[in-house]
Amino acid sequence: MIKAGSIAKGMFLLIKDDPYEVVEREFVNPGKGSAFVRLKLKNLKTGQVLKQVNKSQETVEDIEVENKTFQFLYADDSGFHFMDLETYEQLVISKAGVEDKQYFLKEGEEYQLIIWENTPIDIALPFKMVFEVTDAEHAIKGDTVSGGTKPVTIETGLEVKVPLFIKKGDKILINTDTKDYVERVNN
Amino acid sequence: MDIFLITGEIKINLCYIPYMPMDIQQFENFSLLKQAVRQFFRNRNYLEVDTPLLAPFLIPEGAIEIFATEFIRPGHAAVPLYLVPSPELWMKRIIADSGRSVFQICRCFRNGETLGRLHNMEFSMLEWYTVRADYMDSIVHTEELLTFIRRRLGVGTLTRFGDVTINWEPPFLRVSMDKIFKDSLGFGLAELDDLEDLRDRCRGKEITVGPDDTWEQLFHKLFLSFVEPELPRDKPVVLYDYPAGIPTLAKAKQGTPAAERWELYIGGIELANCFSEETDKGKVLNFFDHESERKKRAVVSPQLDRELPDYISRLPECSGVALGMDRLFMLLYNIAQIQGLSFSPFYDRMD
Repeated sequence: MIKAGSIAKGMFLLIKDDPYEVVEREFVNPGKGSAFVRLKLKNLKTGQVLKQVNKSQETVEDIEVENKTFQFLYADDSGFHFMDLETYEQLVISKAGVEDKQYFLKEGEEYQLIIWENTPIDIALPFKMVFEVTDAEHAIKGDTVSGGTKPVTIETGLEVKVPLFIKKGDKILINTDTKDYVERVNN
Repeated sequence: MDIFLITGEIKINLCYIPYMPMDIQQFENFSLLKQAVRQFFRNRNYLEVDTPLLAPFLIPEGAIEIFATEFIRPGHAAVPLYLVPSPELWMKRIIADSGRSVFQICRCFRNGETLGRLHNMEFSMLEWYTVRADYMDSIVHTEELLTFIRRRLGVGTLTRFGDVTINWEPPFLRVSMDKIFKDSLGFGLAELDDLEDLRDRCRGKEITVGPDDTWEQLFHKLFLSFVEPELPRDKPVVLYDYPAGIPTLAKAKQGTPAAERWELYIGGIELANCFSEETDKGKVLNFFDHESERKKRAVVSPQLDRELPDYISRLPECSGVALGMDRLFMLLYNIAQIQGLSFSPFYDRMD
């Protein structure tokens, strides 16, 4: 158990037997009122988002998880397939809870999986990751309306807004939390 | 330079920056803001007061944690002192004695609140009291004040704050708490009158109901879950007639379950709080007893201002407003975090 006031983004909670990831956490002290924590939680089984307000002093159930390194193999209808690099055992994470992370999964790449009661419940992404630009239109000269950015597509299919000088084949750093472009990382 | 405070094995994740170089223009603008406020109230013959930040006793307010210190007096026992969470206790004494409308800009201190984009442990407060006025008059004064400030600072009617454009043109939108509850949740304040009704309503909306949750706490859970996030951000909103079930020193509104109280929200930020001030000695005694009891459970349980019922009963009819100056500055100049206003900020690194 943990005090709601100690909850941080990225922690895992147990609510009605389902594991939830804390996606957002904000402290609120309404005028003349007690201290509260406003949480946005994601059900890791169904992907459903739950909004909840707790008193800072209220206790909630947190869960003990462990991180383990796996290699991402491929995705199909049954989910995301990973391999344990020590035992070579394979496992599948159903897409429901972690669908928004598909854009950051590269085949053959290693990832940290969050394991709870021997079941993988989440993929812990690095804060920033490098991707190749696979589709980019040439910038239109003199286009200032778009604020000096244009959309490009990266190798996983995600569309990102980037500065006009980014070309197809460039390698760019992406913030996996906000899905925003950070910088070009060509050698 | 970051300094991490560490105790034992636990990293507290509290980060302190001893000196953060700031834009000089920002100091300039904050100074102009304070000047504009002073000019506005001086033009209207309010008395500017300058009251102590260290107090030997405080008004009991159950929801606020206090910073405690002591006066070390050579040869005598140390005297406990507290940093004021609001200058109310001094200002109301001055009004009771002088009968004047008064204002003050001062630092206030709140302990026990987690640092965030809107919260710092010390902040600048503008507090003003208008005699022979009620809370509805104070809405108009606030509109006039904010318009005066914007003109003085050369800030237009439309400002950008994050991803919203705020239109500051008065009159501000006025919505009663009862109406906004009916609109957002389908039931009004009259239907939340007793604790059992409120518990049922909360459960019906899948709100967690703890065995020791008070009426105020359950009301705020509903409010913060369904009402506050939906408030318009593109214009100032005055939420008025708060339920009397939240203990305050606001007058009860005759014949209703509401208190004569409002809160002003701009850009989704709670900027100011206002009452028609309670002047009934009996009601203040009730408040005092209730909040003293709550205060016993606080980490710091300060000496209490026992003269409160006396000077409050000598107050003329008046209305008081407390407005967060740092938050106002953030809104006027599109600054995302309150820490951005300090050259020596504390940050919470939990995120």
